Amino acid sequence: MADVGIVGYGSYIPRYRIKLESIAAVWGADAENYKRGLQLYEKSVPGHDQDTITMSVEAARRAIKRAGITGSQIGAAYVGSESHPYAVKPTGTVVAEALGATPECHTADFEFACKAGTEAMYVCYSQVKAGVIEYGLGVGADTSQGAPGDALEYSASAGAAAFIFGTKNILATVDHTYAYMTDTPDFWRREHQYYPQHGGRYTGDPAYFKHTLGAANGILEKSGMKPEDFDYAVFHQPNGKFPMEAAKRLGFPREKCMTGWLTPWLGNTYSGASPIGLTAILDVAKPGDRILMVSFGSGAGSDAFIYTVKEPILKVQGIAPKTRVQLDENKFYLDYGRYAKFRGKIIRNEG
Amino acid sequence: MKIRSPRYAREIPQRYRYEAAKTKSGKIFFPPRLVYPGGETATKHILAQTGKVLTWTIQSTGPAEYADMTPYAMAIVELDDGARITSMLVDVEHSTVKTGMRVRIEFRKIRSEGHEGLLCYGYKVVPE
Repeated sequence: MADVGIVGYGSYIPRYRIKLESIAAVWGADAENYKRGLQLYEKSVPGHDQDTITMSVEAARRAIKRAGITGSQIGAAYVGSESHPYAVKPTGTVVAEALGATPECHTADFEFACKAGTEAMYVCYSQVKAGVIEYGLGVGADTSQGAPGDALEYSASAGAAAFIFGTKNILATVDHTYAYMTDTPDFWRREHQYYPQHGGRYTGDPAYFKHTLGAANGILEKSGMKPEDFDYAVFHQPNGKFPMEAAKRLGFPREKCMTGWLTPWLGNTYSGASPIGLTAILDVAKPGDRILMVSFGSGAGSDAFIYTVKEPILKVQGIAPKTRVQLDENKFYLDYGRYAKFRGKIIRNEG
Repeated sequence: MKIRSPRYAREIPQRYRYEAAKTKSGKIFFPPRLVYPGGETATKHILAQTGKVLTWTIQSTGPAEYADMTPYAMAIVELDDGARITSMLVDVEHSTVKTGMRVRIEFRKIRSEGHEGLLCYGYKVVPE
């Protein structure tokens, strides 16, 4: 059977940022305490004209450019997010239409808290592997909300990553996949509620670590590989601390995780978190490098992937904006007032 | 709230994919027309997605649906294929906007039809 892998990838990070200090000052919280506890310094904020749809389109256009294909060649477009702009009306149709992939395209929106992005990737990969489609687009994107003053407000941020799966000119093969899931009530948002609820410390060991480590150990066992066999690892990163702790418990040295560890300056991009981390790795990876990726979504579950980077990557790394460049350059810092306005936290009269 | 879905849907090829028409003599029309000057025929042309600001203004009194964005910058942009579009210029400090500055098209939300209506998407320009 022919290899299946990532043939194009792209990320999109909005230019707006807010520092933890600006949020803490409004709520009378101790910024240093949050910075130490969450290992988080600032987060991205979407402009008021940006949402999951617009960021998905931008990331996908970059992925298409790197893949060297046209939108009409995409046979499936899946967007994973917990902040789809409509309650009823697909994100995927707008994205597919903007890419020129319609009408011969299968589209679905995925939801699974922070895991929806890798779900979209998982299904795209499977569709290509089954021979149903030639190229599939999987996107993870979010403009997540945390309740004002809640710990989540310090981390919930915005970004998108898009991946095109195919069988020709592969940038990184998918060597193994593994999914690990249980019914775990660690984080949720009911219909018509604006902000999510979470179980505080219960989101740690019984949720994040159980599933992230479960999926990581599962895929290592399935593949017969050890941490020493990998050049990079990227885990879901709800804050700066959890992914590094997961790496430590699995026996991955810190330096193998640094490239994809973006949360301290990006915040938690939810469905985009480990996928954007993967784009940062692909931006600098060399042929032969091996990558472990493990996502996590509350509710709860993890998807794990093992990739091997291939020769064609060297030709495409530089042809679309790199993730670290988007993260480190052209930043606009917002104060809390403008941030609240951008995020629609201020209710105004209509008309 | 007046439902404007049909008009929004009709403009999707231009607003999402920048579909224009180019005549045999090389003139670009955006949006495409049914009939071209001099009886020329035209074929589909996708606009270049980078260009430069020809002229601009800061809009301080905007329509109600742009209230959250006001004041905002509007620009006439000459794209690298020679076509000219009018677009909102975003992600920029207004004090740094100048004629000749390089910009590129990004996909953005143009407006929300209130809390219940459609979300309308399309192009805006940002500094390159």
